[in-house]
Amino acid sequence: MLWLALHFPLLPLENPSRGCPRDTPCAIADRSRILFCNDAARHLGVRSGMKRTAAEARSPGIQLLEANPEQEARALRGLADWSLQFSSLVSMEPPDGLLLEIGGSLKLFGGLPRLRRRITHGLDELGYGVATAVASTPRGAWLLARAGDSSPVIDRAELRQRLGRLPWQLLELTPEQEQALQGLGLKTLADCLTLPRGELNRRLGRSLTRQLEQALGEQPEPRHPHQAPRRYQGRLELPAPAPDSPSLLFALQYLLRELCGLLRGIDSGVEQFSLQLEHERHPPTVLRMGVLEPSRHPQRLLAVCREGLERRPLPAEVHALELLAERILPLPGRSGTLFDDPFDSPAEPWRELAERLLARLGEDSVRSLGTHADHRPENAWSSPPAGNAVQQQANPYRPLWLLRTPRPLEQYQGRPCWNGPLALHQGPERLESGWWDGHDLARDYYTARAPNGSLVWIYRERRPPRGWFLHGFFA
Amino acid sequence: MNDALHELLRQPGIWRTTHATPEFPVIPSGFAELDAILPGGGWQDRALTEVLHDQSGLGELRLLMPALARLSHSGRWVAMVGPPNIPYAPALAAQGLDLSRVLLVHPRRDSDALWAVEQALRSGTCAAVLAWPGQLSNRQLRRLQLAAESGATWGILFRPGAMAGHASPAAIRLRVQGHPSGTTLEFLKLRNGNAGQKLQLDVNHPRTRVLPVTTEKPAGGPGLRTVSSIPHAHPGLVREQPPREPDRPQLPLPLEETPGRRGHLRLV
Repeated sequence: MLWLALHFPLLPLENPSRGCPRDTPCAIADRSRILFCNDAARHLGVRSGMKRTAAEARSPGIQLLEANPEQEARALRGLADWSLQFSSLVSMEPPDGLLLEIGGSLKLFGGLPRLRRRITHGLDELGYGVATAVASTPRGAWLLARAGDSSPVIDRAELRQRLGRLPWQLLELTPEQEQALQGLGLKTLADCLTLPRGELNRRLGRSLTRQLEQALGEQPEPRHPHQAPRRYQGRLELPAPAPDSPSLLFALQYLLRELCGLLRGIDSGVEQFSLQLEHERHPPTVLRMGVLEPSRHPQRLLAVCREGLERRPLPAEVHALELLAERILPLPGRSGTLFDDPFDSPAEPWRELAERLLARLGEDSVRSLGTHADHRPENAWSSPPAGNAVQQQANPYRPLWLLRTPRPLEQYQGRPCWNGPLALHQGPERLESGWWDGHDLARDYYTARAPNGSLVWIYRERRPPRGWFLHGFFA
Repeated sequence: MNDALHELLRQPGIWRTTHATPEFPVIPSGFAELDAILPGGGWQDRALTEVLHDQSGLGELRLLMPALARLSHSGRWVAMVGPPNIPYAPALAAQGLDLSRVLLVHPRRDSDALWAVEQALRSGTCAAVLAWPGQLSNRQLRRLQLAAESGATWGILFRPGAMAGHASPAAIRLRVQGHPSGTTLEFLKLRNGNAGQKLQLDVNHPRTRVLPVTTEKPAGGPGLRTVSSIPHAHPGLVREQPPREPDRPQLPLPLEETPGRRGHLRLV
């Protein structure tokens, strides 16, 4: 087993500030003081522990946000979902860590350095900075990650040595335990390890030694595996309200990348999803979006959202957005091409066009055209959604235009008229069909020419009142 | 040139292009007599063609079908934006169109339709885009023309005949008019060519002989063999029909049992 620990030291800050450009100074503050700040704010001289007023004086445009543990937990869950693409065993380490068993994934991703690069890069695209560490035990990796020690440790003796250098403050301890360790004059984990275990247990409780033993691999640590969700729901509160679609799309791409990471992890795609935009004194705007085939390519989904957003005028500025994919569709199994498969790649150009048209014009607006084996003219054609396979049975005796509903024709001296009396050219072609499904018809079809030269397709009902109807044009 | 050569050149099977190599890309129309008039020997690709007509059923679509059928087999798409009626699949297939390459777009508003046409023209995935736009300003037309150029697409706009008087940047503008026995094309504008010509075309039979435009009614005297206009007959299939009496223009009504519609067919 090889464990990769991911520590998100700035999760409380990065999660809400993802929605705005990176050069915006942001900080998490409690009532009086700054707790964390991002690089942009640090550049302007803001430091953690500084008073709110001092920070605002140094950086007038700073966004001061409050910590929101509930949102952080949700963000961590989202990250765990996203990480499933790299490992089948992902375990959360609340409030700000993830542990991935990567022993089985190394070969697939081309070795540890490439896998780590891939993960760090992916997280950067999601808007998170991460500290990583690799060790043979989950707890060991986690402690190293929190200490910022990123070089991988596999050998047990080396692990003991490297962990020994870390301060004991990295352990999860109760205040009493901390006080006791302080009182004993200990500084590092090595100091703790030199003490007799029995004594340590008696004085400080089992939990401390258990953590040490788990970190060293002397005692197993069962981890709770994170389960892939059945639906995706990602939410992003925007620190500054977004007035227009470009700034919304900027924020939205983080959610789409998260969704697509999850979809890669569970080998699925989405065909339909919805986007909910929340306004301050207005009911939320809901956009339903779809692609022609299940996909998990973020740019493709983003292109669809862009058209959808341009179509819908927003009633007010957007404060939060939520991406919801109710139906996650499994994609047909393939092997060998995990990262260059068609579901990950951008759409074929025509699909891209069709999806853009669909997103702007609404559902059902882009169709294919095909024939259907039926004698009734109304049933002999079909128009399935674009991209579906169609039958192609030719019938040279049919007009190029068919009217949606046959138009009754007036009669003059017993002859059908349309812009004047019609001259019958060919016919009749008798069609009598459909008694079995209640849409039966009995008609005699003729080709006729109108005085103005139009060639039309008309029929006469064979049932009373035996009227004439125009049904198509030989356009 | 001697008479024998003239005779040979008049054969319907022989095509002559007016220019040896056109400087602009063209799509052969499939009608020899039409290609003879169209500059470069065909519809101009990467440009707009305007078809002006007031009624349906004049052959305004059949006119384009040989070219569209050919394009649909080229791997690119044929898009129809906002067709006024149902484009009838069995008939389109009979014209040789590959239906699996047809994209139907149904915009709900005029502004959406214009946007969709422009997108389809510009995307480069469509070989041809057929559109039935409403009112278009000259600026909008120019936008579409530019989109057709950048997407290397043939754009075909069907517009009412009243638009003939308005200026347009389209490469080809023609008016389709009905004629008791066929279709008359009037070329209002031909880029790189001479406009103002008229052509009577039997749209059902691509590559047939040129018929001169006559003002008087076509003389269908006894003994004259005419080629009937079978709607959508396969090219190459011609039906023989007995001569029609000039003073008996219509089939008698009510219709008694007429012989089956699939008459005597003969391969030319």
